Amino acid sequence: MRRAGLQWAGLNLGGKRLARLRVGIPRALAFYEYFPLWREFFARAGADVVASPPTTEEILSDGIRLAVDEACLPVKAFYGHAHYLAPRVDVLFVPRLVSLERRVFTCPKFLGLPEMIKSGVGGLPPVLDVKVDANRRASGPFLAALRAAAALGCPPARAAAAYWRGCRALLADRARVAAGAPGAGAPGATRIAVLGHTYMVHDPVISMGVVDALRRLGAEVVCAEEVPEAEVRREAGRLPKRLYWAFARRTMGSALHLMHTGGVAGILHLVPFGCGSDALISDLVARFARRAGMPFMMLTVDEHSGTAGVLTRLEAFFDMVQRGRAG
Amino acid sequence: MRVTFPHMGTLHIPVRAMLAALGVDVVLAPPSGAETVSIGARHAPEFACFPLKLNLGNFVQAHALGADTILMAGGVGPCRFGYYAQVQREILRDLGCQYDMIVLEPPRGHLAELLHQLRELVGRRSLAEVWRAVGLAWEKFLALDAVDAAAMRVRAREARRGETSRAWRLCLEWIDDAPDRAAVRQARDRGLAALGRVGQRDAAAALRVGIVGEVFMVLEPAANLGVAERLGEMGVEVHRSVMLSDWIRTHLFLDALRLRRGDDPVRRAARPYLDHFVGGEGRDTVGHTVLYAGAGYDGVVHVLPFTCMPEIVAKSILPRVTAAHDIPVLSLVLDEHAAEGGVLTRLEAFVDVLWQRRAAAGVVGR
Repeated sequence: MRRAGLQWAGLNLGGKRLARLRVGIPRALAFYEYFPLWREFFARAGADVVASPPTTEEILSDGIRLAVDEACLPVKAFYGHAHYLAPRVDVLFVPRLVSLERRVFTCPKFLGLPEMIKSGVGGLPPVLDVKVDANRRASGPFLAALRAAAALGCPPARAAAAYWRGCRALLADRARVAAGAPGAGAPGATRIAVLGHTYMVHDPVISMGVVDALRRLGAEVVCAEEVPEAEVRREAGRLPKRLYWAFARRTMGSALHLMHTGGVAGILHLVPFGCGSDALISDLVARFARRAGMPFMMLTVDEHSGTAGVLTRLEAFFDMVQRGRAG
Repeated sequence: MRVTFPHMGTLHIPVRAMLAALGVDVVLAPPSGAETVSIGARHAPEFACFPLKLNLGNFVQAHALGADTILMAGGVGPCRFGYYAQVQREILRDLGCQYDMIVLEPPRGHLAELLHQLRELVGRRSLAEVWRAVGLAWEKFLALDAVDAAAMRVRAREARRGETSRAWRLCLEWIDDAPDRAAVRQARDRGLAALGRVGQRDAAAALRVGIVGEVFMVLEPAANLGVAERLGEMGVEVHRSVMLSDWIRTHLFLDALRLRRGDDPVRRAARPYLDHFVGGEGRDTVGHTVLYAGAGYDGVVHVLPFTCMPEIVAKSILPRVTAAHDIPVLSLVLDEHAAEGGVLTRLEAFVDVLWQRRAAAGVVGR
C-alpha cells in the first residue's frame, strides 16, 4: 500500500519555465492558515505567487453559482476564487489537505476539494493538487512540498530550502498574531470571543463583518488563534472522546479555555451554513457554556444573510452580555 | 442492564438475536416513524445530519420503555458519525434521560479495548456461545438481504400493488422468529417461496435503478421515505448499492481493521473521478454510480442526509460521472423537512425521464 519515495510527476505546463510560472492561490479556506508558508515556499522555489483578492460580492456570487447548493459558504467562496484566478495564472494550487497531524483530519470537503473544483469550475489551468496527509509517511507536509516543487520543475535541494523558509515565515506570522492579542483595547472594554474557522472569521464578506461590527459597538474582540495551542489541546483533551477535526478542536478547546479562565464576557460562534463539524460542535459548546454560565450565541451566516439582521442580533447579544456584567 | 440500540432498516433483527443469545436484555425502540423524527428534530442540533436525529429519537423512545444502556458504534472520522454518541450523550443528559453508553470504537491495532467493552456488555461467556450468537446473527443478515433483494425484483412486476411488501413483512417475521441457523435458512427459503408466489404482470421490461448514497439513508425507510418501495411500485427494479450484510462486512469489519483491498472494484471504478477517501461512503457513491452505468442500469438515485459532508463531495462530482457515462442521477437530499408528496413527484418525473430515454434509444426489453 505505502509507496515509498516520491512521484516526480510533472504538470503539463506547455513548456513554460519555472521562473515565469504564475501560481494561483485562492484566498479561501486553508489560505487563512497557511498562506505565509505557501507564499514564501513558492517564491523561494522560483515561481510568481498570485493570490486572489479579498472576497468580493462578485467572487462570492460566482462561487455560489458554480458550487452545489449544499456546500458550505466558505467552500462556495473557494469556487469563486478559483474561478477568478483561472484565466490569470498558469497553475492553480488546490492542495488536498487530509491531515496535518496524525489522526486529526481537516474536513471531508477539504479531502475532495481538488475533484470538486475540477468538476465545478470550467477553464482551469493545470491544477497542482498535492496531497498532505500526516497519517502516511510518504505524504507528510515536507515530502508533499517537495512533490509540489518537483511538479513545477524545481530541484529538491532548492525546494527543501524553500520549505524551510516557508515554515519559518509561518511561525513568525503566528507569533505575531499571538503577540498582538491580549491587553489591547480600551480599559474596561467588554471582551467578546469570536470563535469559528479562520476562513470564516477573517473573511470580511462571508463573516458579514462581524468582527468590525462588534468593535464599533465598543467590544474588544478575542479570536481563537489568540488562545495558546497548548491550552487548546489540554482543554479539548478533557473531552471523553478525542475530536478528530482540527478546526473543531481549536473552537472547542479555546471555548473551554475561555469559559474556565473567564477571560471574556461572552462567546460568539460564527458558523457558516452547511458546516458539518460546527453543527455538532456548536451544540456541545452551547451546552457547556450554559452549564458554566457563560453567555453564548451561535450565529449562522449564509449567502442570504442580510447585514441588518446580523447586526440586530449582535447588538442584542452585546447588550445582554453588558447587562450581565453590570448586574 | 436493559440495552437498546438505534434502528437502521432491519438491523434490529440480527442484532437483537445476537444479544438475546448472549443473555442480554434488549429493549427495542418502536420502528422509526413520524414520532421519532419529531423528537429527534426537536432536540438535535438543527444542522446535524438526519441519522443523528433519528438515533436520538430512538433513544428517547426506548428510554420511555425502560432501556438504560445504549449500544452504539463509533468512528475515527472525518465523517460525523464517529462523534454522534458524544453529542447524543450530552443531549440526553440535558433531557434528563439517564443512560449508560457503550460505544464500540474501531480498534486501532489492538483488539483488547473492544473485547473489554464487549465483555462489559455480555459478561463472561464461552467462546462457543459467542460464536453461536454471532453465527446466528450473520445467518439472519444474509437471509434478510436475500429476501430484500428478491422483494425488490418481484415488486417491479407485481400484479396487485402492495402484495410484495406484505409478503416481505411476513418474511421478516419468520426470520426474526427463527431460533437457530437451520431455522433461519428454512425461514429464508419459505420467504423466497412466498415472494415467488406474488402475482406477476406479464414480464414486460422493467426499468432498472440503483440506489447509492449514505448507508443509513439507503437502508432506513423512515429516512429515505421508502424510496425503494415507492420505485418498485412504479414498476422499477431496484438494486441497493449497500445491503445490510455488505455494510457489516466492509464498514464495520474490513475498513475498521483496514483490511479492504486497495484494488476493491468500487474504488477502482471511482478512481478517475475521486481517487481519495472523503469519509463515510462518499467515494463508494461515486464508484457504485460508475458500476451501475457499466452494468446497463437506466438510472441512479442518490440519497443523502442534508448537510452530509462526504456525500456533498460526491454530489459535486457526480455530474462528471453522468456526463462521461450517460447515466441519469437523481440526488435526494433528505431530512425532517422532506415531504413524501414532493419526493414522490420527483421520483415519478425521474421514472418518466428514464422511460423516455429508453424509448428514444429504441431499446425494447433488455
